[in-house]
Amino acid sequence: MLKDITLGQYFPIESPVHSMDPRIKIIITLVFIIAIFFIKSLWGFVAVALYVIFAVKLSRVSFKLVLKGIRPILFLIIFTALINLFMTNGEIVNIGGVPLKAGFLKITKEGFYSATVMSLRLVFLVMGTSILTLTTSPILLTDGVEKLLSPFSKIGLPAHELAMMMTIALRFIPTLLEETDKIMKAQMARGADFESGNIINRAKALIPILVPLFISSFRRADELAVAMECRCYRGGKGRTRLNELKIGTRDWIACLSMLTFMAVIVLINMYL
Amino acid sequence: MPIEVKNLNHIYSKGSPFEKTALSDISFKINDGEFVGLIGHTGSGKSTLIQHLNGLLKPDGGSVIVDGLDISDKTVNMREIRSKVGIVFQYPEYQLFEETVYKDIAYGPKNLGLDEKEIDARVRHVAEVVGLDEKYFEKSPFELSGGQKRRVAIAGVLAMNPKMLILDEPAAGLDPVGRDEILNRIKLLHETEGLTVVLVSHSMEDIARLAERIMVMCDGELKMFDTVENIFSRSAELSSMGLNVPQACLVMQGLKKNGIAVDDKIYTVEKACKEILRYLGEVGKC
Ligand SMILES: Nc1ncnc2c1ncn2[C@@H]1O[C@H](COP(=O)(O)OP(=O)(O)OP(=O)(O)O)[C@@H](O)[C@H]1O
Ligand SMILES: [Mg+2]
Repeated sequence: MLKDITLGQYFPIESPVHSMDPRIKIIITLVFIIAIFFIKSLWGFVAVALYVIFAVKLSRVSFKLVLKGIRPILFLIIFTALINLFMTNGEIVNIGGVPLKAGFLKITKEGFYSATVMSLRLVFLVMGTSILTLTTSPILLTDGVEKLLSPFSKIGLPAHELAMMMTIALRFIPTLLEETDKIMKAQMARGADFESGNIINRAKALIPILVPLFISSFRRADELAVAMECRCYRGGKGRTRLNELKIGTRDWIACLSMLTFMAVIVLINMYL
Repeated sequence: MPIEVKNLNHIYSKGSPFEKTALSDISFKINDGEFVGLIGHTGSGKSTLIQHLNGLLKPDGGSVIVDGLDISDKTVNMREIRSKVGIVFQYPEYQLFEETVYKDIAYGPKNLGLDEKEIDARVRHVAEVVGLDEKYFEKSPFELSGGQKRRVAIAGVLAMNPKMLILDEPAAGLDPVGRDEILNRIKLLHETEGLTVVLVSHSMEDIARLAERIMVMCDGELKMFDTVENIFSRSAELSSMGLNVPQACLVMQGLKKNGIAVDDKIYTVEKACKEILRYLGEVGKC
């Protein structure tokens, strides 16, 4: 039931992309996102598409999964495309001598172009970040974020605490889902019905789930805090880790490929 | 109200990399008024199986027929099935939510749409059945001790007046006195009201003492379903599945193996005691 919602969407297999250092993956993804916002010509998107295809192939994740990330924002993409298509000023398109114009809506060459560019940007943005989250476990992702943010702890950013909060939240989401599932089933066994009735009845039907869920979450939080203190957790200062993040040859190669990609983008922007 | 399960399969997270076959090709029939024990190692699929018996989980293959109604049938009223088959889950005290014990026990009958008088009668009756004093009725369920909470939760399921009661380790985490008390009350209910009971337990002693027939599960398959004597006489097979037989059973089997002519089809301490005394009397040592 509820367990079918995959969290994060990490896809646990082995591949060169999976075993990369999370910091490098995060940085490359950031650079990639910035890069796609600089692209002006459609040739640039050909380069982006090739790069994404290459990365997906290397990560051994199926294309279907990468594309699945687009579905939730499909509406946003279509909406942006339509706004751009109809509202951009410029040279109005003629079809068979009839100008495509109605009131304040019009289709212009510029509009057509920017609609295409904006949609492609959004699609590739989602695909790029999907590759990151599909190939990096949530724990490694938070480790990476912590390491990347740690230079800022000098100016008061609690990098370790933020990462710890993220880790704990991520760790407990499946547990909470499982717990919700269990409580729902227990109440359904007592004749509860969550599917029918009007909005108010349905909201009321949630009480028998929420109360036990809150109580057990508070209990869990309490137990976790005690367990952490018992093992002398004192916050981030001076903590070492079991698995140190290491940047290896593979990561340098990935950086190199990113640099090549950037160079290609710049060249395309200049000459095409 | 018989329950019949035919070629039942269940697969969790079908189609994802976490796919897991929890039940494969399970068939059995439980008759009216039986007391069935369900044993199996951790993760063998016991909890998954019992959730099919009142339609909380739907089969991925095969069928579950409760009182002539197929639970996969979309036209079947689930509430009706759930009022016939009550399930007490592992650690049922985590399902309590109402302000008072009384209201919590009344939650189930209220969902069935009964009138106030009937609800009141039921709450009082089941509280007595589980041995819960009326002085607790107006307390918050969260103020009670673990064992008392467990009783409230069991009462909440019994208040649905099911014809069949399924209990998933009802005694886990209780002290020895508490566990015996709860189990004895369930046994009593079975004897006096003819309630069909399925008891999931890791304690072979409890199962041997209470059940009439035993189902043995291993890795999602139903390996045996037979009378208590027949099951515990196959101790070698049981231990290959990571299960043991009651201590008393082992003692008797050991004695027999060493040439002492006792009956080895014995599985409770009381009976073993009697049998040894009988033997000693027979050979004139006592
Ligand atoms: N919601 C779920 N999603 C995915 N897999 C599950 C789920 N629930 C159970 N499983 C898996 O199905 C198998 C059977 O689980 P089940 O809970 O039925 O075992 P069990 O016999 O009740 O064990 P225990 O004695 O520990 O309670 C286990 O391997 C478990 O990991
Ligand atoms: Mg279980």
